[in-house]
Amino acid sequence: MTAILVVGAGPAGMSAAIELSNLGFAVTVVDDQSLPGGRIFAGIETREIKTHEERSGADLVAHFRRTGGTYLCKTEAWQIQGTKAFVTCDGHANLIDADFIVLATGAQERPMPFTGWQLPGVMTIGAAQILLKTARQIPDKPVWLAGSGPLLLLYAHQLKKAGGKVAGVLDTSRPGCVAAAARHLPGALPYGWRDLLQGARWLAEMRPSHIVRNVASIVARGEGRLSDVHFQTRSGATGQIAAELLLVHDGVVPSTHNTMAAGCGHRWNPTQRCFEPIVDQFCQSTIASVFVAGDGASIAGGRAAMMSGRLAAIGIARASGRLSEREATTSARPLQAGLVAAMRFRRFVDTLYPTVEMTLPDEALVCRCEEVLAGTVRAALAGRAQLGTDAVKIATRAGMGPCQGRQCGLSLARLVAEVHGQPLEAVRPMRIRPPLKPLTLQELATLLETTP
Amino acid sequence: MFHKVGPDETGGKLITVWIDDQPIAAEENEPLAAVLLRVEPYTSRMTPLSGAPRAPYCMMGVCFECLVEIDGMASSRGCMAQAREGMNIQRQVRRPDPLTEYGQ
Ligand code: FES
Repeated sequence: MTAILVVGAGPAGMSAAIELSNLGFAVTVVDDQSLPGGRIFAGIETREIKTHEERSGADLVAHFRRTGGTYLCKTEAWQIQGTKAFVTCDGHANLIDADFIVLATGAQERPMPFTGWQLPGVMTIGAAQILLKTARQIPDKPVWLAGSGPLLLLYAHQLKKAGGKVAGVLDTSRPGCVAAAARHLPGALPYGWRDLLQGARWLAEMRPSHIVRNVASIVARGEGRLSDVHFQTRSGATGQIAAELLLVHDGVVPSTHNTMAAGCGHRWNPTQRCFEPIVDQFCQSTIASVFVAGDGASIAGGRAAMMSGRLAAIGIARASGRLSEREATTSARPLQAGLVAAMRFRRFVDTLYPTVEMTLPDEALVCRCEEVLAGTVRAALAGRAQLGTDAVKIATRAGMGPCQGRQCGLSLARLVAEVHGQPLEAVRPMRIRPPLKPLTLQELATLLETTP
Repeated sequence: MFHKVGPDETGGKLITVWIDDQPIAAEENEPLAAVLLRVEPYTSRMTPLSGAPRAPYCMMGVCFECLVEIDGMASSRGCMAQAREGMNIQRQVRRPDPLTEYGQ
């Protein structure tokens, strides 16, 4: 029987697993969390269901539990090689040999470096949202938010509903985006009118005492923890606020560590300003046995991720001969059309909230783990046009720490492009090596017992 | 910095974990990093290089700022670990560099 491994139990992974099981494949799903749902539906089985979206998430999780194949929670994949995946669970390493692999590892927040972003007291808005979803935990004082994007609005709304308060917003979004986005509005409506209505409602709710618009740069200061935030607007006005907590956000980007380590081809997405794996109409990557679904392939949100997960399943059925070309094309068509509509909606959102990428001053840390400053990276690159991201890693240790470049990879690529005067399309992202997740030697040694 | 809101509808058990040998109330299965963010000084570790304090940043396993020692296992991500009764958590402190700083 054809065996499929799905990595990730978010909307894409769960949808892929359900569809693959329906198609008669033997499916194993590994996920690093203790419950299925991914980030968007984190802890959905233990939360009270309040919205339409949460209901659909809870239904999907229930469906997945019934018919999604073998589900291994708290299991981390640390290397993908062709059709083989190495995972650890509960202190034991294992080799899973599948015929096809679906990588549905989702997104992470775009790293948002600025001077002082490493201080305790600075966190991402996504982190605050996870705290709310998994621990019913909110800031104990009115909180400052900084950045831009739909998640900022959503969190402000959720925080208010949970009894919390926004003290103010340092809004980094660019002026004039509303007009630019307007022409994408008609295309966005068929897929996203509900989301747009909701977004408009959140926007109307946003009445913190202060919104500082047009913020161009932020500096976080404090002795050992955040005490003040200094900012400058694009027109040069400066200001300062006292804050012990600052929540930041600048959109999300695909988590590409798995696809990169697996050797899939990637390209630079100039609109969303991130690297993403190259996939075809059936979610197949440049490696025939590896399919990529959901936000890990391209940022489009939870509903689109469900469609792309199902599409990957059909793609595998097509590649393995379970479905004929005709059958596959017919079943894929509505999903592909749905994804086109989702992408039109995304274009509207991306135009309304384009990536900001605040200026990266020399004294800002680029690599938080190894404490490497932007200035150090610039100095290492200056006048050495042959140096790329990997060379700069060796020269400065940026990217060598435990996060393995998840927080600095994009900034390093950006600095290489900036110093060498290259377009980002021409910059090769840092090479990602196993193990992708921390692994003890003891865990590694268990491979001898678990693998024949 | 953070506090809990609303009653727990999931019937999670109240438990005690130990952070740097202090007993701390927690809810079973909540992320350990969430507990760290309710307890002064709201940090998880010091960096091995400069000894600067750090705190959980992403809560989703990608920043590695929440590294703590959990029941003797160093550099465990607090945001990926769930609170259990009696868990022993030590915030990571900077240790001297064995090549340059020992014996001085
Ligand atoms: S808070 Fe980022 S890895 Fe735990």
